Amino acid sequence: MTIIIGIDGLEYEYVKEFGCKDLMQKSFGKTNIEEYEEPRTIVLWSSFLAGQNLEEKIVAMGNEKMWDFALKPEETFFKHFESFKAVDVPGYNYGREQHVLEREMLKKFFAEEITVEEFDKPVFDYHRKLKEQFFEDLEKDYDLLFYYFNAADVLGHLSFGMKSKMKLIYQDMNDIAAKAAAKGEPMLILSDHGMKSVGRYGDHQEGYGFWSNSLGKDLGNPKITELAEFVANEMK
Amino acid sequence: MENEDMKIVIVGHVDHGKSTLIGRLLFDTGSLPESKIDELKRTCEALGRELEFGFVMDSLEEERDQAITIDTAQTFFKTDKRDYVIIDAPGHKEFIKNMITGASLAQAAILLVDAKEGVQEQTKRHAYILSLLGMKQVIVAINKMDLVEYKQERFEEVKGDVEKFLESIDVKPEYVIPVSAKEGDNIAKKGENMSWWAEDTILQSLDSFIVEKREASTALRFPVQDVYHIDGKRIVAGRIESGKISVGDKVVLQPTNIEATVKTIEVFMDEDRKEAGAGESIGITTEEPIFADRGQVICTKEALPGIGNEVEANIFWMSKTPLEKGERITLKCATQEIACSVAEIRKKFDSSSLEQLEENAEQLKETEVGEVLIKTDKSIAFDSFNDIQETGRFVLERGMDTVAGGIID
Repeated sequence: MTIIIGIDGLEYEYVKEFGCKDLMQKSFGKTNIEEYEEPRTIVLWSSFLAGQNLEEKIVAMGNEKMWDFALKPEETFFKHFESFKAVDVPGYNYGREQHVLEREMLKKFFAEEITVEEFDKPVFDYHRKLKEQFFEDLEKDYDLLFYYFNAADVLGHLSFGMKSKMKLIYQDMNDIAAKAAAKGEPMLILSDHGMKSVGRYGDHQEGYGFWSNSLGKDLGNPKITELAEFVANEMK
Repeated sequence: MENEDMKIVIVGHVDHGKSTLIGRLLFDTGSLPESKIDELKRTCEALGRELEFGFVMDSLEEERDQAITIDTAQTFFKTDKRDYVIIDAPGHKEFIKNMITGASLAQAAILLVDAKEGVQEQTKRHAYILSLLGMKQVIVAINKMDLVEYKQERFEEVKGDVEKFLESIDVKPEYVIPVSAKEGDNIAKKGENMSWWAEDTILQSLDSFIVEKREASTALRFPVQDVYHIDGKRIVAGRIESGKISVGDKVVLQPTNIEATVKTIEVFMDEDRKEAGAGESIGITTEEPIFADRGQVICTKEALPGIGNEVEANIFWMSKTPLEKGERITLKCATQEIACSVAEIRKKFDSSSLEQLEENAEQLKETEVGEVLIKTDKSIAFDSFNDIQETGRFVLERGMDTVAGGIID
């Protein structure tokens, strides 16, 4: 089984600083996303899946509609795998309901209608549910298992500058990676973009994301679109 | 519960665990700021983790990096007996400056020593400063016992080294305690890692100390901070550093030697005060008009301070740029601020090894201690540090920098 853990907003510098060894795996580095006008989640994951830059096409759909963008399996590297399971992957089968809720909560927070605690709660609830489901699926027999986690990004928007809290979240992601690594299967961990702190808050980092693989293959500073080929050819 | 806070200072080598000890004292006494720790607690719960002390330290260090709490201000914690204030001492320079200027005069000290590394040069320097300042209530905490597998033999070895050095500088610690601030052993509670230790914890030891009361019967020393004209009255304001003052007292202003009689004592929200004592900030008016100025000291004829242009003292030099004999600097003692020079460096010592380095030296380098003769441009009022600490200690400044602390023989 090939495992891909997609982690939205995972910041390279924090992974190193917090010593998240299982997120770093045998080889890790930064992706190059400088060609993108903005580090948009839906654009970057879709481009990764398709192996080509889809920014123009997706942005043309407009801010609201772009979240409905979904590739077919044959348009992605999934086609190289006989059986696969992808969960919540933007650009493929993104769980729109949860993410609409998160965006609304974010607006409410900045309108001072809810607290950080109220904002965090549904994100953590969803993250826990997803994590449990991932651990169950790790025991099943897929050729490819691709899970997307967005807690680091969503919680990071309100707390990225509070390192002590982010460290806990990164450690949790590291624990998830450790459990997956224990399967001894080829694994890619990827983030679409990094994050930077703005006071206690966080914003998307432009220019780079994060990659690591269990094969020990040094990918250098790859474009996110180059990784589709890597998955199809070297991680099967 | 005592009404009065006790101010304590934690000193020792920079890497021997001061922040962790402070964090542990705050954590174990439930004295941490609520909001951020609550957020961490909730995050831990949401992720199915226990709130560990390490996470708390992360949070405190984060606040320190953002200059919010630790290392930038006074930090508070409480026991059943009393409230404590930890005076910040990020380095010996700030420590000496604070102690000598009286801005934050600690009543007890914890000297931290790393159990693995043992006594280091900085440990000795800080201990020497405690000695210089006459600190009586001292706890030596042999920290990081977890790094030496909590071995009693190692504790005894380091304890022996520390006690030997402290004895040579006349500091007698009341307690030497093996601790692990990281794991919480022997700080607020005994813990399970050192069952061989049957004596007190750090908190129990601190609680056994007394908050030293200022001695009301010693000689009056009332340094003038300022003079105000309010409602036609000329009010001489300041803080009584020692002794007491009463309406009708015959006082003398030093070093000008002008005499006057106290007419009123002015205390905010207390119109009928007839007497005030050490530690109180007050104003006075006098029967006779006196031309007092900031820096002068009000005393009584019966117990005058030393007056003169020459002061014999021990100084601890803290600047990277050495003191040159004869160099023009400024002496600050209580509210007095006077241009001066060090006329003689009679002897100088290494503050770590206590080895005498030179007699009749021309220079005093960073961290060296000197027995010196200071000549001031104008007369100053001073006391021996052993008699009255407040007017027996001083700092030396070069430009805006505090470059030395000293006590008067």
